[in-house]
Amino acid sequence: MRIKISAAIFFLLSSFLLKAQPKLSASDLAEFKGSAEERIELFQDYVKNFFSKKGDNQQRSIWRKQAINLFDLDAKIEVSNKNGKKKKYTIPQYFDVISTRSSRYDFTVVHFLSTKVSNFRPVKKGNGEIYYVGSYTFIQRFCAKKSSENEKWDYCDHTEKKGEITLDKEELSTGKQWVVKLGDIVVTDTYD
Amino acid sequence: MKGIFITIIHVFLLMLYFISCDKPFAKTDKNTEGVSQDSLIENPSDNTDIHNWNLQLMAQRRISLLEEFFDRFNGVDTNIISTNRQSALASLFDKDYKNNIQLDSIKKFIQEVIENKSFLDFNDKDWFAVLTTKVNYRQMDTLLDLILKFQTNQDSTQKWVLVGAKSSFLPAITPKNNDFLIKPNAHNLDFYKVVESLNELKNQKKINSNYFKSENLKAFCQLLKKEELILLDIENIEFHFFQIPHWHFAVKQNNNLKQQSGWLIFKLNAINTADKLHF
Repeated sequence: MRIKISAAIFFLLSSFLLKAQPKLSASDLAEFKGSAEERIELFQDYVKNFFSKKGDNQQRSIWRKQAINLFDLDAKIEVSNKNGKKKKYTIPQYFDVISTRSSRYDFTVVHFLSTKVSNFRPVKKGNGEIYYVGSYTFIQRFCAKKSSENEKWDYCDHTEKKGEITLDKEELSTGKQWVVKLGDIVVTDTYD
Repeated sequence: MKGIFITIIHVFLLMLYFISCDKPFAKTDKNTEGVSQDSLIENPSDNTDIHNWNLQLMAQRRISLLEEFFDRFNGVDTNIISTNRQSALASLFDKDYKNNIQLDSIKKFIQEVIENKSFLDFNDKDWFAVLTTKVNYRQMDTLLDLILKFQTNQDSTQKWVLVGAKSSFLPAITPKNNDFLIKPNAHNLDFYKVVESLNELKNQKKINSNYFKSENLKAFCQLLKKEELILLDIENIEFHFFQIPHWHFAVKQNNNLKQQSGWLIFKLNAINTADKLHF
């Protein structure tokens, strides 16, 4: 009898611990960190392409759509200028903003310096399920020329940005899968 | 017999190869459908003088994530060439504050950290985030410090929790555990959602002053609920560390892109246990 009770307690305790523990191993999380890095790089490539006015309208529309898919639906990107003014935009709006900004100049380029991605940390949802959050930082260097014949840049700034990454289970056609999504991007500072 | 054995080994190795190629979870990169990855890569002809390698190097050395500060303190930062812990620790002191910290104190601190094999860990109890916020209290703009602590729960999930609010119009902070969930990555995002979520307390029926255990946070919550206190913006973020015996140091972000930038030590004090409790 005592053995049965002990076994029952052990079973209950172990099932509780299994339920409460994060579901992903360190190697899984490392792999998803790699996936997050790929997504960030893709997003940066789309931004570069928009700033450097690459592609025809159809191609740019595809890139815009693909960039939106990298993010959470409600994600917002903050933009700023050297005067310290900050404003938040949804992802579709953001791509419109950078198209407008680049159209003001004859030649614009964006370069991303030192993108650093943190490890994922587990968070408990209200329903007890676990998901993961991480973050990344990068410095965005924007330079523009009023005429592409000008030797020097007419305008340059650096913006340090910080972004959120989430790793959560999502219902896909192949069943429930862990999916990495980019979240809000905030501006820390803009300087020369 | 030997041939069968070799065949089994080959089949086994082949299976291992296929398993290692197979990703455990599907990556949903529908985003690149129909687009050649090459077309996304910047044309090398775009490599104008925007590629300033000096800037690139400075950006790489910059301590952008708080985790990098921990790594460099612990001597495991891969972004710096020197593996010498002494020089890694010395590189954590912000030169802009050299007039505030005596060189002798820095030398003594580094010596003690190395001799005592002291390391920092996110799960340490004795470190806090201090967010200086601009607030509107009864129609007057003033400052208020929010004190947050990093917490790892028994189930290994993590979060930042609000442990106190410091201002002339609030009771003193008492060391009681309080619970108000702030995501565990908030430190790398300048705690940008904290102001919004605390102001939102007025609309949350579940969270009232009884939710908090300390008198300090009960009073803080009541003021927020009555809208007598509105948080406006975060003016400054500092992290205060008390893990190293007899020392207190504080870290904040230096944003200027130069040889040394990011999360750096700007304050170092020799302290006793009483000073530590006072904080």
